Amino acid sequence: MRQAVRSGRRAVLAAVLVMLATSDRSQRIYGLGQADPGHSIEAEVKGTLKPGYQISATGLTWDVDISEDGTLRQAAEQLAGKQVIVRGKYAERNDGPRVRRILTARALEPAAETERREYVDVTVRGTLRVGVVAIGGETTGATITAGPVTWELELDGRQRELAVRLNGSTALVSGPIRPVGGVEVRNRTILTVRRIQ
Amino acid sequence: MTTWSNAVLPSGEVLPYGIQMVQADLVTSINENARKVCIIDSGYSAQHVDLRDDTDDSITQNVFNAGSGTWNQDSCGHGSHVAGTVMAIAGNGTGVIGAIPGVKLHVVKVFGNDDLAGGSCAWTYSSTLINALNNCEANGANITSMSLGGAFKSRTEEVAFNNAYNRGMLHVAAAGNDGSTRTSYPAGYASVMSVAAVDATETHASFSQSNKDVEISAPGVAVLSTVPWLDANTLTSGATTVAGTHVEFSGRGTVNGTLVDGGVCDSVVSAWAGKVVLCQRGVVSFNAKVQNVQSGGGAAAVIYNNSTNDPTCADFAGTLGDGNSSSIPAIGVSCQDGADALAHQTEASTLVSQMSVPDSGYEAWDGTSMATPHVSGVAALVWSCYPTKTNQQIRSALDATALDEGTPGRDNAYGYGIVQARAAVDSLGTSSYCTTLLGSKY
Repeated sequence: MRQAVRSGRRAVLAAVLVMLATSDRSQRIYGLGQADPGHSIEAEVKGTLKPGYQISATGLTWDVDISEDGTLRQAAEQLAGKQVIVRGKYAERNDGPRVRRILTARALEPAAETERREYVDVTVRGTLRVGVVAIGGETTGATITAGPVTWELELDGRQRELAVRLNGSTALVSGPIRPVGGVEVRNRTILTVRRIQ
Repeated sequence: MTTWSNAVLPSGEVLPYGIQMVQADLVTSINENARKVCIIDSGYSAQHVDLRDDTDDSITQNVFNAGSGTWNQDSCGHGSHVAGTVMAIAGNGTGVIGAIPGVKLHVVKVFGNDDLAGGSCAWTYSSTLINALNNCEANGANITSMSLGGAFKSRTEEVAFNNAYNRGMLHVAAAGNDGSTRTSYPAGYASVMSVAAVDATETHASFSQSNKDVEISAPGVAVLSTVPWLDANTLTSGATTVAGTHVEFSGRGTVNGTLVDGGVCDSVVSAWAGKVVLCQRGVVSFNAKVQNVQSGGGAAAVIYNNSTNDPTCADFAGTLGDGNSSSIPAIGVSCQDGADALAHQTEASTLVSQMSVPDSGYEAWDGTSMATPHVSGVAALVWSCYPTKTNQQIRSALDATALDEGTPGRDNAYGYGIVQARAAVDSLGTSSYCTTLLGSKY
């Protein structure tokens, strides 16, 4: 299929620290999309905080929900344009032709300069499936689904064996995610599994 | 090595280069409807003017799949694109022509979910594929065409395909688009023909997987076929209308305004208010250009290519990027069309960017998914000439007569080579139903 051309993004360093618990807001956003209360996605995103409470990392943009927390909002204003780490609960919903990613922040802090300039690390509790078949064969063959979110899983040999045994059941997987542009399946998100249980 | 191109026929129809490359236009069969191809995909656009409609009893279907929806709703367009390559109507004066327009068809929808929440055009499961295979066989299909695959080998799946093959079905599947040596399934099963992709110069496509299971090749780059929508993007200036490509996530609509040269559109210019702004590609992102035009009050943005960023200088499919959008429409056009438009600056212009769904459109797509239906269609065409021959005999003939490419003999990139309809028919001897030609029948 036609290939998209995407622009890159850069990040900068910041120097303030703020951490707050925001469980109430998590529940509110949870209701927007994640249908199964037993499923959840926790995310840690290192990227550039953009105006309008958005964070960009690894080619993905997330709406950071801090709207009802004055302290977090104040910190976000101070860190706008800088590289930050946001931790919180992830959800997504369709907004017309776009998928809107929402990260309900529990913590927002400036990021230190490290080897990993940008990343999105997630821990997903959801339904694991293997034997996945895709258009043009563009799939790793395994997925994890939490509510409306389905990501492909990149597994090593031993993880594959475990995944086969866990097929169809609820599993906990963690690792970084990255977007992949395919030939026919334009937008894929792949989670490189570090841990599966 | 030959370089092939789409041919516009006197009737106005386009004979895609792939149909020519596989010699489907060099075999005339009066028995096309003796074979039935089962397309397991995202559905079939029965409303498309170039695909036979659902009142035609030569098309059967698995009407509804609980996981993927109704057979004749194809929001992805993938299944309809595949179907067009197999059997787009010939002689109707419009659109494209398939490999075997008169073939019978069975449709099983396994991708896409038009009515149900949570569906995906991208995925299905091995168990669904086995059910689809069984449904194809139960409905009399001779050939399965599967532009799909997965990374996990399944013994259950393999047995199902082997059993159906031993009962006389021929299976054709995509080798996969990973550009690696990984084996994709079902293409990797011995009872399934694994299809690799080549481009218009008969060269192995870089995305096409290469492995010991690749059996045969077919065109899979810029394959023109049917899609169930019409994505119209044009710029009219002076007496000239040029076609472009919608910039993803930008607005849609019809806009009238004076053309103005915006340079590379790397800043906001208030003089753009109400105008159609021409922006040269490069320096800043597409999103920055379009946002600058919008902030300057511009009515639309036209981003024209430049050779520094893209040596092809053709029109291009840009995007505003994840999380971005604009209310104004934006399209990408070629270097030449950009230069022509610049010659008309200060003149009135009309920019159209409209997506009509459902509708009857045509698009050129890449993928081993696009190569697969060339082989399915040729297999059906050759088999229609010899309906008493077995699936194994047809398969052997296709392999033996394929146009050898790459390393002499079978190799992991091309398999036995590019499938050749006329050569296969000639190799099987006299047919009561078919004649072979030296020149195109169209």
